[in-house]
Amino acid sequence: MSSLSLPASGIAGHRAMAVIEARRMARHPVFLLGVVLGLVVLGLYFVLVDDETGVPVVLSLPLLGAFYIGLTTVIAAALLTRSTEVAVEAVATAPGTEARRTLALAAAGIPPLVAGLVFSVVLVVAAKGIGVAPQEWWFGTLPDWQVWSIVLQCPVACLDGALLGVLTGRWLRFRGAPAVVVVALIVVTLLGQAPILETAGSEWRLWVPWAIWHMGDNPDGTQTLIAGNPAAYLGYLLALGVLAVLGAMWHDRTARTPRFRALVAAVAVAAVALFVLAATTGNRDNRDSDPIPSRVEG
Amino acid sequence: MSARLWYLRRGVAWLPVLGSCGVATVAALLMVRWPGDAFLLAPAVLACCAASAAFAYDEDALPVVAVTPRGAGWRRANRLAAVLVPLSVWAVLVALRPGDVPLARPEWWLVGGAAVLLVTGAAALASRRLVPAPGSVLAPVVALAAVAPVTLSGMFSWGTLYPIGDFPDPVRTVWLGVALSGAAVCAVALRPGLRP
Repeated sequence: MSSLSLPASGIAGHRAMAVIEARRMARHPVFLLGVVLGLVVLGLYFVLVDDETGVPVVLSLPLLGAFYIGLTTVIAAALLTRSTEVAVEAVATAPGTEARRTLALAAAGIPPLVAGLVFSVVLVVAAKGIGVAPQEWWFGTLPDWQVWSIVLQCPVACLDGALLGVLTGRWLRFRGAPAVVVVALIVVTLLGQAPILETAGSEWRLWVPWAIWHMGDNPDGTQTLIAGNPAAYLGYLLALGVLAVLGAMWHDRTARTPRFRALVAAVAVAAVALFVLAATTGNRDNRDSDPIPSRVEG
Repeated sequence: MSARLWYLRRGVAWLPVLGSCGVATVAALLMVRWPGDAFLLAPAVLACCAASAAFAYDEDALPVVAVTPRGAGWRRANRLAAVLVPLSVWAVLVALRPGDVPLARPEWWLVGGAAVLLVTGAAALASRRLVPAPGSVLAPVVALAAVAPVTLSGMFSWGTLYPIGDFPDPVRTVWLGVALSGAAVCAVALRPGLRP
């Protein structure tokens, strides 16, 4: 029972609890499986999907990291959160309230965040090494801040996956809750944006937790950049993550102080504001790139 | 027979088994509303049915019941009956073709049967190794694995494992391989005794 040796309160105690949770996540087999799968599939993509002009649809690749690392992290974090409840009577003798333990569990998002960053670095370095077509939506055809904002969606999604997992573990007690959440997340994310991706109002897709920014399979060899402001969307994703932590802490009735309620309201307002900002600024319409000759069909 | 039914009624964790089947039905209803998104929703239905099968071997008191006179083999063999529920749900949903989506019936039945068989074998194997609730980990991992090929097929030019309409021979071969693997895992898991 390492938790019993923790300081009873204060920053040091919280830090020690957070370190324990981060270590548990870093060793969780489901999380490790996701990291390995994400990197292996990315490697396979670089090896198998070859093109004389370089890496195709490179701006779509953060999806691989978010899918494999982020979604497995939802599962792992939910299991970690539930595992603390198995011995709830023993845990009750440990320092801190349920809300404090939940806050410590949020540190389980650090390993996925780091894994997502590693994935993004590998992606950028490999794309630089192999090269991309000059017409491709990437550095050179887009402002750097937009490219970085889209690439960094991957680590932020991995972090949010962990925080959503903590939220799931706190509120959904039935077995299989992580399975339902994962399937629902995928279905909502796709159905929430697919119908409007190619319409004039495509920027309103940005309420979903993973927005598609890039489509690269147009028959005329062009690629489509979807409307919206990726930097504001990145902020929106971070706000969703904070809301997930606060929502998980809300489970502890003793945590629902007026100050805490005000904090929840403020973050919710910030999330809405960032969503509106993401949808109303940045690229106003979908933009097609110049055609890439090697990818013109027929 | 009555002892078997009594055991199934009391021993199986029906809530997650039936809950997952319920979510599968909801996904099928979404397919009625959005048949154009069947490429994702049909795998989602499969994911839920396969996840349901993962709970068939959840038994919190496993260390106790594993050494009762009935024996672990009797227990594991009888729990196979619980898997008939997600299999039936899958069979009915494919037969109904929600949203008039052109699912090739024998092949899509094979897809569900193969996935459920493999998951059942894995859960039974975990139970054999005295894991009390394999479904807690297995179900979400299976759900994710079932949907993962949808993203891969979008990025690689390998074709899809979930073809709507015509069902190519190579895909049928893949699913036959999954079914055979599942049968092999089940055979290993259902041998009498506990740990291998």
